[in-house]
Amino acid sequence: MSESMLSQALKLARKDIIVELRRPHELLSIIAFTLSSIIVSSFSWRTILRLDPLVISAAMWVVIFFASILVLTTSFAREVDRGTIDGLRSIPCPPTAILAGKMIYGMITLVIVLLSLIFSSLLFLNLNTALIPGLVIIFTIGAIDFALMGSMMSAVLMYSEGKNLLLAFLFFPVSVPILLPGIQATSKILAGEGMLATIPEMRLLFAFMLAVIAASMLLFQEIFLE
Amino acid sequence: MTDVVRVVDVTKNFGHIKALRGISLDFTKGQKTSFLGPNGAGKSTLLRIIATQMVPSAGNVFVMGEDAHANREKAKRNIGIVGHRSFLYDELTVLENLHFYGSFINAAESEFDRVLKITDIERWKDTKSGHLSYGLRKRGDISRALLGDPPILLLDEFFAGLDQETAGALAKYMNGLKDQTIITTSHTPELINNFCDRSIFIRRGLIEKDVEL
Repeated sequence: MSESMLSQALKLARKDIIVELRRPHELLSIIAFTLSSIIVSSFSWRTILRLDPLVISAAMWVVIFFASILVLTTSFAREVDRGTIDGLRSIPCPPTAILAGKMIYGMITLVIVLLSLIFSSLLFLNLNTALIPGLVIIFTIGAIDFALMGSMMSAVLMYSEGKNLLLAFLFFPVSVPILLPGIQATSKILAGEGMLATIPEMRLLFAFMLAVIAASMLLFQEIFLE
Repeated sequence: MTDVVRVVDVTKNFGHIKALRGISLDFTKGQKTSFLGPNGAGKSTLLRIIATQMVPSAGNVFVMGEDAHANREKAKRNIGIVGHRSFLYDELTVLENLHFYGSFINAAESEFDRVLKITDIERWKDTKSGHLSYGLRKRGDISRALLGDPPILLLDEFFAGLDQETAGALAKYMNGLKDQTIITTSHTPELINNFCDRSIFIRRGLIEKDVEL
């Protein structure tokens, strides 16, 4: 990404974040969903003395998956619904800068949601604080993957009837390459195996990230221009 | 006079529907043209192709002598567009919207004052766009389109949904823009004729009439 393209993407992401913060009900409802999911899990697991790390990991990634759907379905769909998509098209910048801006916005929003997930897990699932750095790394890579893929999917489906429903359905199969290594890596960290043990899963997550970036660079211009 | 915009044999197909059938047109500096015709005639499609927001199935568009679709970013710097829906973000104030769009053309602070003055919307610059009336919002949109003083202004269904008084005031602003080449679409010619010096009637993707007023 050239410097000017990065700065253009940052301008677009900044605008989206300001808009999001001025209508915080959506972000707050996603954080409320995250908190309530962890609290409900904590209630149902209160009698189990030692939880399987895979179970906790799966629960956390289910929350991340649904939070990603809620965050990313709106990224391009909202622009189309409000008519501002043509405003974005009128901006003299490459279409990939617009996609990159949406991806950065998606990443930042998801990271905020993930921080609430980790915080609530510490409180209600009795997570060991020593595990936090590892979880932050894995979740952040997962969030980047989700943001890249979700923004691209949102762009592909932005003109479809019932785009929110379609995205929810199509998001799952394309998320499998994120969910499987993500769940495995998180369970290894929760089991105390350390970051080195997660290298195979990290490689898969990075490979998927590169594949989505390459596909986006090739396809987005065609999708964005009618 | 030099052609600011040249449309050469432009065709646009949506599946088996032919929206535009080989349209060729030239627009000179300062010329104010209206595309007239019924709904579905192809007016907005042609405007969007000139704005490089839509890719033609065949043909070329030249903006300031250069192939617009081969260099969209450069073409967009020469074009200000007002759609029939607002491009302003409800949650941002008028000035914040102008700052956002202006940041891509490195607009100076004085530029924002200039465009707000042209459309007489300075009083509302700190009001969120979502709180503005339709007419004021339209003025905000014109201010946005005028950022960077583009030589070409494209106005899609510009007067749609406006009352007579607001539409008349906006027509007055348009009349004041002597250097800009303005291309506008409408299916109601009354107001357009107040500031346009050329009318092109489009029907079923073809030019039916091209009249100097």
